[in-house]
Amino acid sequence: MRCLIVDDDELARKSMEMMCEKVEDLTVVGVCENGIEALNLLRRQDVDLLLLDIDMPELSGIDLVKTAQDLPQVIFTTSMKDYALEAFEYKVTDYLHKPITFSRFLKAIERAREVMGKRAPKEMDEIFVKTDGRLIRLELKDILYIESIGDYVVFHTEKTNKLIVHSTLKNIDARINNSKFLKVHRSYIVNLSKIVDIEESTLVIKDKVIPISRAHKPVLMNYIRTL
Amino acid sequence: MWEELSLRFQIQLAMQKQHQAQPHFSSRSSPDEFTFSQNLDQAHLLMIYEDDLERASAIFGIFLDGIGKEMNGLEEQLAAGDTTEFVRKVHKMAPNFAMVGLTEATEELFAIEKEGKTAGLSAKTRQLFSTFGTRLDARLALVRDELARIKNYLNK
Repeated sequence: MRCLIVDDDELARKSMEMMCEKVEDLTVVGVCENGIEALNLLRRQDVDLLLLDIDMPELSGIDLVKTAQDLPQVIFTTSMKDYALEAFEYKVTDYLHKPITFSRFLKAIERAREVMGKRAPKEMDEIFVKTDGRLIRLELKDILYIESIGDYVVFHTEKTNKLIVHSTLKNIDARINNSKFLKVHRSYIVNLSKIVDIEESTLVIKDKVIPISRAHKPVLMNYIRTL
Repeated sequence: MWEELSLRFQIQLAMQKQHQAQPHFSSRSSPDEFTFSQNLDQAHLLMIYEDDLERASAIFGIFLDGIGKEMNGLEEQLAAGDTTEFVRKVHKMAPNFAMVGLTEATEELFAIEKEGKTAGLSAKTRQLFSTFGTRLDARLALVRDELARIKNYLNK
């Protein structure tokens, strides 16, 4: 497990780091002094477990959990017992009260291992589609949007332009396990990261105007707010 | 209250002197086995470090290196009347004392934090902090001695 330690207190950081070193399958990939530094590191580094202090200036551990998307598992650390109830509202894996004993630390790591084993598979980043008798690999980040036309769906991509597949949008929607893709209309699934702008009932992706149904608008807006 | 705290401190100092004159081996340990000093919270240290004396050594060292600066910071916040930062720092420091076996000091800091939160930087908050400060040197001496013992044991 790759873990990231976040604490504004040097002694707490060092103690945590040394405990991590004693656990065979734990690798410390970063040690941060504050939440902002941690957020930046999380953007460029794969992390499975965040050992996160709650009480930090500027951006507290709880603020970080509220702000960040696609967070790894979180184990909160704090010297404040009062935070326990609030901390668990954020579905964290565990909550460690300082000073942390090694046996309690090991229990938390064991819990993280269990959760990791049960977790849903990581978001997919590619899909194979059958077209003209061939299976073609498509990277999801290259897909602009997916359009349903009769018994076919059309993958509009940045690289290959269009790929026509004999399938239904419902089937594709069920297969794509990626939070960046959202159905906005009965005939369209869009890559949220490719949206240029949104108007009342339409959105634009690379000059293409795509309708947004009334039923899907609130879901879309919810996603946009959290981006 | 003040007299009682003062008495407890005197008892602690007397125990320290008595203990320094004795070898630090518990009745259940062999002479080669390291045992934390009785002047510190042995049970707590054992729970935190078990037999990991390298970690204990590192943590004791970091604690001693940083405590002076931390205390100066608190003095400055107290002088500037910065209640929020004073209380926050006291709260952050408290568990660090327990990491070096000074669990009583941790409790005192939590009491200062509680007082600071409810009454701000009141006369009582300042008095509690002042009392804490007067005990600090003797406590740090205990930690220094213990670190020396740990290092000595590790270098054997």
